[in-house]
Amino acid sequence: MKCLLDATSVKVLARAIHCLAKIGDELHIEPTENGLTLKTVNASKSAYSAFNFHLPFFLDFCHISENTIQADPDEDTVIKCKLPMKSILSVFRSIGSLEKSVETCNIMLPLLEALLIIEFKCKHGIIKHFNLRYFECESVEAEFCKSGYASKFSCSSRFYSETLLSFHSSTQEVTWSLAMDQVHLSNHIDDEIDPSKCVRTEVTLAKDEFVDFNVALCTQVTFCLKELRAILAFAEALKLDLDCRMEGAGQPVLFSLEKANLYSADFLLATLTPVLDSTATSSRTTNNQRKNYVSTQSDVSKHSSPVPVLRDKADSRTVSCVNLQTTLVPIVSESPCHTSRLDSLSLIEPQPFPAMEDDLDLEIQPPPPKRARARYIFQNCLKATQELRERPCEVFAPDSEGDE
Amino acid sequence: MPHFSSQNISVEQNHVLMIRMDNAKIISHILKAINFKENSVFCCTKDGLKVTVEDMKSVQLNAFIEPGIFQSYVVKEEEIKFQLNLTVLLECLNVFGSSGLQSGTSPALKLYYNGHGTPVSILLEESGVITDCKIRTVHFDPVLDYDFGTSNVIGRIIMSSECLKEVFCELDSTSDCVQFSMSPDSANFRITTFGHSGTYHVDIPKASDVIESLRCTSPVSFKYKLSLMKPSIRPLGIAQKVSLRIDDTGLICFQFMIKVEDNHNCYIDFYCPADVDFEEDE
Repeated sequence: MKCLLDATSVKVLARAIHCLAKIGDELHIEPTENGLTLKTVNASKSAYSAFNFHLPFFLDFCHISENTIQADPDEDTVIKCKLPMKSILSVFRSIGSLEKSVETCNIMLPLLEALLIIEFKCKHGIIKHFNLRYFECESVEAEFCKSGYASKFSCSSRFYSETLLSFHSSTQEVTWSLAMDQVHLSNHIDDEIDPSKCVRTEVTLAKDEFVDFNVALCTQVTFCLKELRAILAFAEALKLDLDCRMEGAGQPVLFSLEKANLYSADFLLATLTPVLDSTATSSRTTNNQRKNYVSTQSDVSKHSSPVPVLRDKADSRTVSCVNLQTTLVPIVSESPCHTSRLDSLSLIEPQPFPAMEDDLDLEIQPPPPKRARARYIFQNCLKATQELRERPCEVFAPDSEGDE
Repeated sequence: MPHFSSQNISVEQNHVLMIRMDNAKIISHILKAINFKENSVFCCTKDGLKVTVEDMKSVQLNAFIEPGIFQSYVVKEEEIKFQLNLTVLLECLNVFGSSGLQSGTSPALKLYYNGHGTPVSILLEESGVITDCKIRTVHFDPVLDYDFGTSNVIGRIIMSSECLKEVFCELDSTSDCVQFSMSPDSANFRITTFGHSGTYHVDIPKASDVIESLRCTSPVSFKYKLSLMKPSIRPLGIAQKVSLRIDDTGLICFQFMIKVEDNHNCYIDFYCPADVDFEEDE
């Protein structure tokens, strides 16, 4: 892949990378015929984000990596890779200095070298080259369909930001209660915290404050603010409107933005599963876990809408019908280097609810807070490779030379 | 004008060094840029004041202030050397506030030194308020005398200090060292870092308007520890121009030109030895 960007596009790209960096730790780069896609998934697999930069965003774009020494059309490939967010962030770290000095930017994934090469042509003729090491990987994909959502509303990102200002900066989760003519936001209080000791904040937004408002299903959805704040930081800097699509409690929320035909971005955020009254203890634990979307046939009226599934494209077969308990084992033993296997706790394929509960066999002892608990339970899913245990002391091949 | 002459007239005969300045901010502006370590050695000769700050017997910053910048500069011996705590001196000089060189009022300064073993006396006056400080001196430790002969210089660049400062501030901090390369054949002056994410290069073309002159007799490429280069950033920030010279042993000398008053310049030197790979020698 090689592409050329002008000064304004470089700034947008830098802001996108900053936004992605607040969500996940690895950046997936996928060039396609229609442009460049940058994606990330967070560590607990509860947030997915994809930025799509279309062809007009670039001064020049070619998604194929060619053999520059000896042209051979058979060798041409499209290189998909991922690299640590820290690496690429170090290149685009200071937007102010990019603004001051960068005139054009060249990004290349050459065929013959395993490097992501970024070149900034700056003022005074100065050229900065960044050669970043990357890892090849399979693509990370979240399947969702924008048209399938029950409710959709949109407004300027500044409006969302101003609304969120009402919440204390330490608020982690906000519950959005959708009604036919309004959206009611309130901070979500953990069950473990004494309700009399915390501050409750509630904000109601009337229908006419939105640019677009179409709520078909009255429901309550709770998700984490951290990713939303990252999204708003990007959207506000570029003065974009943000669309929000919600299904029901437990279903992921989709935020989208776009700028004409230049770029668009989608953010899929996991939501908390709803509390069930019937089964007391198991439902409490269900609620306390930060997993999500288990689609409930009864809750959602329009169940024909495809529920988002996060899967590793190469292994689509293994994902289906896998329940929580057993996902632990396959992930660890099958492909240790397959870091993008995403069929784990959060964005998994829907199961009928009762089956889910049986699998919630939590033998974990002291209940740590929600998020930490979920990560603790599924920590093995998140490791790239399985750690080998220390061998027992039997030595099969003693040293030929003694110790000094 | 301050009325110092009415004080301590009898003691004046004992001063081996006496400096008077109308604007003490000039001296504190320059000395602040070399204050990367506490101890400094002052060397005063008829050619001016030289203040040296050194670290690990390798990295050295020298500030030169010529007599023309002072209102009065009296040196009664050929060479007067003493060592004192530069941080303390700067705190005294900034006792009326440490606003920048251009802004605010300017305190007047009178500095005396009576010879070996005596403290340095400083009198500062601003708007009628007088401050009297005495700073202990100690016998100076010998400092390295980098004899940077022009005959050994392989590469020399004179360029805009601001541009080099921007480059230095953005250098990859995960890299242990920074490499400077130039060659008669290459069109660029290249600055390279080797960090955790990869290798980064900054190429400044010889023909660029930020480079005033570049002379290079043969290809030169040396690495320097990034941590040792850090003291150069403050003088880079206050200078207008900088000259870099590298000799055949890899010793690099930065010379910063700082404009202080209308037609006066002060200079700061920075010496740093190259990072030598000892394994190669064995």
